[in-house]
Amino acid sequence: MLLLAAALLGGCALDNVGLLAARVTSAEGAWVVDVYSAGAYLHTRADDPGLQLGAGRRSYVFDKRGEDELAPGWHYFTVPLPDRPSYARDSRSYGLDTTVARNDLSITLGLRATTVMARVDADDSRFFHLTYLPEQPALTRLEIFESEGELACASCLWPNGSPSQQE
Amino acid sequence: MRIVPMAQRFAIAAGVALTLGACEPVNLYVAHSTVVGLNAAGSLDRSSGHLIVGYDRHFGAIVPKSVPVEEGEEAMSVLSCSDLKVDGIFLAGFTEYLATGRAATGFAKAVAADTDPAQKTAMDQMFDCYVAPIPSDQTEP
Repeated sequence: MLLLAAALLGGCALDNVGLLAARVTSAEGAWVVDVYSAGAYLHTRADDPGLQLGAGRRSYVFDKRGEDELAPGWHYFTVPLPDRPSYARDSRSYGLDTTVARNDLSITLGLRATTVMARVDADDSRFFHLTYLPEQPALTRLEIFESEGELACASCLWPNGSPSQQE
Repeated sequence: MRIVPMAQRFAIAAGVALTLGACEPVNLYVAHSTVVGLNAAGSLDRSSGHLIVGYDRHFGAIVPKSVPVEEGEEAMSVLSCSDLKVDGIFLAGFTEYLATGRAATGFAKAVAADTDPAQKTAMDQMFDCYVAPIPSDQTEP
């Protein structure tokens, strides 16, 4: 009851509309969208379905398909979430959090922090390199190796031509 | 001996098939999760569940084991290497290389076929996580 009251007092949101604040960050090869919510938040995205009662942050990493696709900065009440699956996502929720994905059916009372590093359809062919730090979205780096032709020159994938960076 | 009618047998078989099918993963899923409090969770893909009171942390991957290919079905092809950085109870960041499906098999064939030692070494190391350290290592003062 306390949670429900807090949720109603906090406000409500559905997908990308409601009592939300979002920060869009332009990163190297990626957009990072951090969505902050307080109250009841019903999110029905295929890659992140669920209901949250409380406060939280849900972050999504999308491939960048153009510099003008999203507007970097803060957005309020409406969130510019691209209509395509994210490459990775991170969420932290405080309160009651439910998820209804087939590989993650859960209900949590308290704190739940989840990072999905990959969610790829079984028949999908992908090849990418992703670096993602949820607290530092500007450092996100997503490289997608599209064609099989590129595989013939793996060493060309490194800027300096050499993969040996580790001491 | 009691003979089960054909319709009933069909219904049982269909039920079993549906049940097994519902448990079959349809996505590659790699995730980390931390819970503090009360958590009840399950997974259709793993046909499992748990109840947690207190603190727990999971890291895991679910790989589909039945994917249509030219010669029938086989497990999903995946080449992956992940480097995770943890800060307290949270995952601070990660870097990963991931290839799936045709891209994974194509890459594996290219590695096997390449005869240039430098190129072969580069491709071998493609999935070495330590090739590209998490940037926080470089940015911290």
